[in-house]
Amino acid sequence: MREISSKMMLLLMGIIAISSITSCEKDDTSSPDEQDAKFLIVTTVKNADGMSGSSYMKLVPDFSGDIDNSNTVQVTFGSGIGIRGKDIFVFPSFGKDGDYNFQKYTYTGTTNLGVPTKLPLAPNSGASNVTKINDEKMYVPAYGIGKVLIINPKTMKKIGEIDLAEYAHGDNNPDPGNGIIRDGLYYLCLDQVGADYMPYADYHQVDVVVIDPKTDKVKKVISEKSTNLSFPTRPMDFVKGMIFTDEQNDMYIACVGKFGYDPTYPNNGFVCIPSGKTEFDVSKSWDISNTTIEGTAYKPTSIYNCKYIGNGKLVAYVGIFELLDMTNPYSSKNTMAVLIDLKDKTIKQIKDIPLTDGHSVCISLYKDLVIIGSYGKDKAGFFSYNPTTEEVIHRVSTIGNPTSFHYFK
Amino acid sequence: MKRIFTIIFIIILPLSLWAQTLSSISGRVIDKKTGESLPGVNVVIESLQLGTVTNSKGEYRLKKIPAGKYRLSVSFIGYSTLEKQVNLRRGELIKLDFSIEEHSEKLNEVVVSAKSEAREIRELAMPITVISMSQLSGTVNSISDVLNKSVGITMRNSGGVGSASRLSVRGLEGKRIGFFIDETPMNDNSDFINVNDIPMDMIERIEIYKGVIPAKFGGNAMGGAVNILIKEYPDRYADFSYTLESFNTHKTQAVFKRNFKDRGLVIGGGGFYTYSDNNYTMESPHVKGLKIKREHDKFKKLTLAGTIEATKLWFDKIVFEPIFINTYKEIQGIEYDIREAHTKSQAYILANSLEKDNFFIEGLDFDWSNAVAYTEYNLIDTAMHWYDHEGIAYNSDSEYGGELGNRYASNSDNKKFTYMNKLNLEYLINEKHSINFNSNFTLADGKPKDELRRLSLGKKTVFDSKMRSWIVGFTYDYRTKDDRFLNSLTSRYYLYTMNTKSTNMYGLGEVKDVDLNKNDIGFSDAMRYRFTTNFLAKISAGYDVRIPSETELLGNGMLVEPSESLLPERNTSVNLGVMYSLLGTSKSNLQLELSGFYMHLEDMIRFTKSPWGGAKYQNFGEMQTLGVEFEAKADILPTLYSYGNITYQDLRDVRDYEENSTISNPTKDMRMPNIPYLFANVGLEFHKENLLGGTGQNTRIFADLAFVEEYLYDFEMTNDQRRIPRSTTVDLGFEHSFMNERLFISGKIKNLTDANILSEFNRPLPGRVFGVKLRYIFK
Repeated sequence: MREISSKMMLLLMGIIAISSITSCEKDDTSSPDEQDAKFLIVTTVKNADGMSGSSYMKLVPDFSGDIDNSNTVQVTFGSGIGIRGKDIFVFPSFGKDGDYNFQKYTYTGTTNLGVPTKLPLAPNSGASNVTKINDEKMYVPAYGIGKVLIINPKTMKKIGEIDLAEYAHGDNNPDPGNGIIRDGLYYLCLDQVGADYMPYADYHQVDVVVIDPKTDKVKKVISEKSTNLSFPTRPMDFVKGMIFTDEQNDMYIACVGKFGYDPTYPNNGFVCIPSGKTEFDVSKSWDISNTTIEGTAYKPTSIYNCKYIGNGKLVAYVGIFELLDMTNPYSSKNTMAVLIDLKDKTIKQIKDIPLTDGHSVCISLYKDLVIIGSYGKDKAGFFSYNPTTEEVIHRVSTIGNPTSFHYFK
Repeated sequence: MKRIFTIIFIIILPLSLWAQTLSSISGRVIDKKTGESLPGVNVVIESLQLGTVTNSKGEYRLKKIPAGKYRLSVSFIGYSTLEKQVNLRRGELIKLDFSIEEHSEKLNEVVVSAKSEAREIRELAMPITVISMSQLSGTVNSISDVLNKSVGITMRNSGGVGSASRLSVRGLEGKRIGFFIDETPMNDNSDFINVNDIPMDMIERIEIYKGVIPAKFGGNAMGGAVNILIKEYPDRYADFSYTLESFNTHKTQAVFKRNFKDRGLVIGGGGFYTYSDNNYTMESPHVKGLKIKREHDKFKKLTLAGTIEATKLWFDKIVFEPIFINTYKEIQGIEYDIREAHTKSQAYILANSLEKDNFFIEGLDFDWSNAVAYTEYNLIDTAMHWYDHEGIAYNSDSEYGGELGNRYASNSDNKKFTYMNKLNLEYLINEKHSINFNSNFTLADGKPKDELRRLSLGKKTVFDSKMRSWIVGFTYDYRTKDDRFLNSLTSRYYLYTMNTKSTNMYGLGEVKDVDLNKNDIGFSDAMRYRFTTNFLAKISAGYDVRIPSETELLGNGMLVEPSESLLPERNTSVNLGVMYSLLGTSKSNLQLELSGFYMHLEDMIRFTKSPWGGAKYQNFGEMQTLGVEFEAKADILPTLYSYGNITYQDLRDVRDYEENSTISNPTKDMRMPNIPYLFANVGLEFHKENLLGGTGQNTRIFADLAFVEEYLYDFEMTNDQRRIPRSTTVDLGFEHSFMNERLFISGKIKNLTDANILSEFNRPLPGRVFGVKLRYIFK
């Protein structure tokens, strides 16, 4: 009897083990596609360390209420996306680990993002923004390898590259950030950072390389050395507003400085290349670290993102050193939404937008509204700001950090 | 192919049960003081009513013993009776020598015998799994292979031979899982010995503690511990082996021992050398279909050790052991082609231990050990270019070189001095009560130096450090006279200090002094109740603290950055288990064990990697685990042994809010990523004496199937998310011994189906591996 029961138990054990092994199939709970999905959002769920996690992209027809991360497409952590027309570009992981494919989805109007076209780039390329030259050519600066990759957006094939190594200071990579086309020339900012991703202590200046898209050759490198500003633009596409032109076609470039982490070097602000010129006008440079933010006692120690909204005004996110928690700067909520007036040289806090961390600094436009992502102490999601009425409304709550917003007209 | 093997296992498992192959025990009995052979000594297994007496040479042999767990009694007029618990496997021929002692006038024989028994039984309240190595002697298995087959255990390997591997017990892993050799903690402050570095042939058995760990281990473990017990070799012994495996892997090993009984002196020594090219082909986890041959993953390790043991001084045993370890490891790129970066390390260790039973007081056992270690670590990353897998060269970020993606070059010369002291006092009050005091003190002074890194970064980022830790444990054990009930109550005190300087590598602040001084307490209780001879239940609960290790706090001076603000982890656990065992009482030797466990871990320390290249340890927050594990073992034929186990461990993030906010934690109640949650193993072992004719031969053939269910790379948010795929691997092996277990030939095919196996963070592991081994023992 004992032997029989032993056999039974063994049989049972075998069946339990094997059936468990073979029956664990993935659930498929994806929802049907919805039409008229005009809003694209990206969220980041960071780990407790603040410097790792995962990011998700989603198209929704209704931009209100709570939006979760179900039925999303996972994208590379913190690298963001770039949208040009109906092309949705997803950049490789920033850094040496992770996915190094450059991907393109095509917007179809539904919630279904479809299958992407992939172009494997060099590992650690740091490709993170695009500037479209024409339908068959775009520039993709590669922050990690110091090159501008030339890619056909239609075929997603690499068709060339521009090596910028010779313009590097202190190392072999000038760290190309964001760029813009003006008057047929491509102005590309060089961040010139060291191994610690901060500007070199002996190199507080702003370098911009001017490239002729017709020949893909560097025409010259121009520098602004008089204002002590550095680190022009950040490299990600969702901060592309850090280089812009105003109604007069004057080009302004937002300079980060040392991210506001070093109180001995708080310098940050704007430099300008006036219309019709290919050199800086230092008289138009503005170090905003000396300007008190109206409504607060703080002065900005860095600028993390901005969006020109017309008439000399910008909506921006700036860093406040006094609010920085050095124990975990990646998730420290020291970032304040402000309205900057380039003409009056004033900075004013946009109240009701919570102080946020560095993962949520997106600023985008939706009709007459500015959509601002924020991950505050008690509210998280997308807020709308009406520049005319100064009204702020918490439009959407997100699961995790809101990192990008785009409205398809 | 996988399905075929699955079906084979289903068919074979329920085969009928037959009578088993019988085992035998042989050996010699000597006088402990004189070393002379003792004829006429009774050697008895009372439960089987089986016994014999030693011959004129003091030799004995007990034959035809069924597999099982027995108490072997050695008695002789005028001498203290010695008892030893033996675990016999099917067909096993084991050798057991005994040294027995003449009665001391002060000594009461009954008390000694009773106390000896109590010592052996005391451990049984703890949730423990014991793996006896005797049946694996001579095979090409590694410790990783053996542990991976155990219920609730996974080895988190990251590559081939010599690659980083971490033990995971019930989902908890890394430094919190204690790694002990003969009860001496190895991984608190020393990284120079990996669990796989210990040759299998040296191991007597492996004990795996889960949930609650006895205070006598004294180390800084939480949630689990693995204690490897090294063999007591016979008096005259020499053992040589050579293993050849795929990917140009060579392992050689030599051990010798000589006991000069008249002088009370034992000397021994050993050396192990491992070399591997590790040049297996992997598929890129990032570009589908891209096959990459690992050309820069060479590994070399040389270990030399000696031992001098004095047994005729006032202490029962005084041991000195010098050890030298030299390691060279190339760094293999996964995302891109690393061609030059490598690490080197050298360790010089001197260990000493003193043991004395009845230390001044009858019933008090004294165990004192010291170890000093001087280690040197080097990371060399000076290449001026790095390459992608198409062979395209890119400039290093730094003008000083470096290809590891850190944006700086390294040529580090890190030196460390470590001193470890352990004191264990065990006092047996009487048959029912005993107490244990344990103290572990560690001193670690680090002197890292990396001028090239300083030049690349433009500032110093690694600093001298001084760390001290002291852990004191006290245990009170109670058991009823009839042995039905056993209770073990433990408390611990933890103290650690750290003095160093730190700066964030990314320039977020100035150099600051670090002056930590922290302490905490922990406690646990474990109970066991035996309902019948074959059926028992165990319950234990504990609140444990684990102080961060030096590496976790200060980084390793290589790729892991300092994180000096780490808090200690705190774990509350409850373990429940029932066990039904017919071991030694039935031909089937059936053993069934079902366990459930709950853990709530606060300030969990996790290894995290920054997208910018750095990595560090961080406090994660809170995590909760509910799990169940089941294991069954039996002889299903006289010559066929089978085992199976399945583990389900559900680790969940239970933080309510994001740090410093009232925003709900987006990953609350979600399963922790990168930790397998469902895995199972089944295996068969065929064994037969003289299968191919002749005498004194034994053959074993075994097959193991291991399964790990697909698990998450990140917290689960959506269906379309990166995951670590399900894996099923089959290993086959054989071992044949000649000349009464003097000569062994064995072989193994690991991952028979050449399945594509990815480990945590989708690191590709080797495919099919072949191995053969030749071993000869002079005895």
